[in-house]
Amino acid sequence: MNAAPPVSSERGFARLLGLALLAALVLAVADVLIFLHGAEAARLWLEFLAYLAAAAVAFGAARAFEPGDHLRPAWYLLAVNLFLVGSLALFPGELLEGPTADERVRWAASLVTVVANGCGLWGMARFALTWRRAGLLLPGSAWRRYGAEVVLLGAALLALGPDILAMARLAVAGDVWSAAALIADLCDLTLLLLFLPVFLTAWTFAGGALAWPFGFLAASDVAWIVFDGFQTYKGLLGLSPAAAKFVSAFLHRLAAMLVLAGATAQRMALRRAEVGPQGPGGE
Amino acid sequence: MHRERGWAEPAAPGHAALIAMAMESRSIQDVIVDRLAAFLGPHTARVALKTFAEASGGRKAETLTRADVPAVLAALRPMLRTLLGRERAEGLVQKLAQELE
Repeated sequence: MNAAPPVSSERGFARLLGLALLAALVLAVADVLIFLHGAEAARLWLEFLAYLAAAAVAFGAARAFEPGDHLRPAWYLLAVNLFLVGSLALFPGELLEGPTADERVRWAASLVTVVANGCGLWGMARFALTWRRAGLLLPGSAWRRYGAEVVLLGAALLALGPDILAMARLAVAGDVWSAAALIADLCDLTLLLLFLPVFLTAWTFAGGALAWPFGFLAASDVAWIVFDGFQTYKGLLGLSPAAAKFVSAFLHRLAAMLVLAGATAQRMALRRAEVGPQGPGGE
Repeated sequence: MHRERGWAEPAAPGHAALIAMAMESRSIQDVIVDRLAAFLGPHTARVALKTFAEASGGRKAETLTRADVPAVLAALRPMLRTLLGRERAEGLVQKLAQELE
């Protein structure tokens, strides 16, 4: 019996990128179509299910590690982050903002927002510190990396600065939902600073299986910050409501689908360690 | 395929013999780098071996001998545990140790 020809390992990983982009595109199109038909509940459930799927795959990546392994809690934290971010879709918008806002719902949503962002930040920090823990060196001098971090901080402040100021004003006035949004913004800002070590770790592993999970997570970071920037400046772009909705939904789903792809890539890399690069898991 | 009668069929080399033959033409450095490169990429695999070979016994990667292998693998173990988890790192180290016996 002829064995199936071995598929290039790197092609298998690269396919994940295409699938993540395609999934985000399909979900964004579905989001806009459902929005245009006025079926808001269906739209929010679709968003929740997309995040639930990403959370389940991240959970699987965590379970692929043994207790005590460095990356196991990192994937668990990202799984919790995805689940909670997705569950925010199920909080009715009219009960969070506007004249019929319910204080209990706002407190619950605020708590979910803070915990979700905390988990996401903590999980990504573990990925960002992996190189140090493994005893590896990142490319470039420390000064160059500091310089790059300053540039990233500038970009993050450009994207988030106006919203941070607006939320800070409302939070000081005692609005709990705005305080939660402020914490979420500050977490996103820090997340962009974590992008550099995660991206450089992926760069360091170029040509190896471990480049892919780190690369997908770095790309997810970028999707989040572009999403935040778009939310801040979409009014200046002169887009139609449907177009703005599409871009917003695409970036939001893309961030989740890239983590899903990263978790899948992580499992593929671990499977390669079990059976070897030429084995069935190497594809 | 046609074979002449009366000639003894050459014994097929066993798996271990094939590995041993291949090993003769490959240095210890190549074997370790090849294994690590599947995960770390070729550049980082070479740099990691160089770093950990020097850290474990002050040896250059290209001058490693079989006697150095246990110390080098022990030095690589924490890095592999961080990246692949304890169980898979041990599996990889054992595979390398077997290949380099």
